[in-house]
Amino acid sequence: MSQISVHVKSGQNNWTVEIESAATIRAFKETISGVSGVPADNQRLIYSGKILKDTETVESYKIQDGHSVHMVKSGGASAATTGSTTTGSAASPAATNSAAPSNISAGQTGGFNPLADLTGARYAGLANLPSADMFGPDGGLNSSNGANPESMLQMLENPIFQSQMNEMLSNPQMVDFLIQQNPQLQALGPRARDMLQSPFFRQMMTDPQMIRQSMQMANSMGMSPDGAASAFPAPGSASGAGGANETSTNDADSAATGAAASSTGQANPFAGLFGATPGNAAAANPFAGLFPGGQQPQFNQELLASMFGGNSNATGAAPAVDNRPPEERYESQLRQLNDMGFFDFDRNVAALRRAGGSVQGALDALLNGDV
Amino acid sequence: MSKVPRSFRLLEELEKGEKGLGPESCSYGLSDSDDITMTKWNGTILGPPHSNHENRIYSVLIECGPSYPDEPPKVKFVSKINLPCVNSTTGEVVKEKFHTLKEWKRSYTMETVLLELRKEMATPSNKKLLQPQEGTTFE
Repeated sequence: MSQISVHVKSGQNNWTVEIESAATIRAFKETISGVSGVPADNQRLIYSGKILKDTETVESYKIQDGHSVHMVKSGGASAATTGSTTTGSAASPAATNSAAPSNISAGQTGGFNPLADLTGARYAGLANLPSADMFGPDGGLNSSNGANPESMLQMLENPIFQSQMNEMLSNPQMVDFLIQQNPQLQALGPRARDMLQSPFFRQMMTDPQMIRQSMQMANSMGMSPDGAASAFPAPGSASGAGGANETSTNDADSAATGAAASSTGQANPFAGLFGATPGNAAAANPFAGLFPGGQQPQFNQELLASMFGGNSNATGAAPAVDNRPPEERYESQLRQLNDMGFFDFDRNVAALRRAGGSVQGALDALLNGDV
Repeated sequence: MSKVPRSFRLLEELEKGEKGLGPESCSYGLSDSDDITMTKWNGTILGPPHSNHENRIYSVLIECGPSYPDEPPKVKFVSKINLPCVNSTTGEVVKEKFHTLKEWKRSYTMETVLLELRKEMATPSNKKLLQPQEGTTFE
């Protein structure tokens, strides 16, 4: 006999219901109808792949505190069938007369669509949706297309936006969605996920300082104003960042030198760049040698964007990484490892270093005894 | 690239299923929560809208063998359903006819299978298929 709280999900709605674990499913449904307004007879509850039967108890399905139950509104009054005990499927006579329940018809056709939420009531008055002038004529965050870079920076400095961004990137579904939407990321395979979820990438996406640097750099590289290069690193350019990011996470020290080596071999190619006024681009641009076509107008903008994304990431992230102690840098990963029962701090850190911050990679190293 | 061992993978999926982190349209969990081998699973698929499956809940059994996720799981419908990739007498999903199982990738999960089955129900050629009375089950 104990009181547990269970999340009940139905479409966009989500309620938390307190229930005795010894209560019957019927009583559970009555409780849910109290908060949802859906009559118990019209509820179908699903938990862990099972359709819950009225006569069973909450306990018998091993529903525990904090778990979630899906509630599906059935169309017709199906009171007669709710007592069905034969199989796992609670029969309800083909609900031919009913329209789609709102929870099913609302954006559920292809699975996950995070953008659908933006129009949902749950964000009403809550989200700081960016003002329209932030987006360029093509709807993108392309500063050179007429979007207002200042307002973007302003938005990026807003802590609420930063935390939303962080939340978004830490949602595995969202990451899947991003990867799925972008062929370049798809091509990267599992690395894309690691990259998008890496703290450095998040930092890159949310640190106004870094965005500002990117913009400055874009200017100084003399990108044509109508070019495809976006100051806001779009997922496309991020695929280039993946490579650089990986090196930087694998070994922060070598990342800095690696980045330097990959440009024309100057001791610090970025120092000049950031100091340079936008007009001086050609002289200060250490990347010129990297591109076969120099800065021809017909130059592949996408390549440029991705190279640029990668380089800006390495510049910005590497120094930031060096300064942070491992417990801070790998905070979330260490917590996950701890949760899994790996308590040796030094080994965990060593494993995470080796795996470039990936928990899965670190687990492998720990399990194989490599560290 | 590192490989996640079977048990870690299944525990991850179990947690996702129990906490309802996945999409609304499908649900899955262990048939018997004391089963430490985590082999037998229950799943449900909410029939896609604008099809003959609308408003229906389909129950499936999923069996994750010892070599999951290197090998695809076995999937069997409990609720009767009329789909080309489902054996019409046993309810088993025929591996050769269902691309997700046929071209199985290690990164696929049970959720992938359920969602893909749901997509299968919603294809233009399948969504108008006459369906057996709801509530009937395969033997």
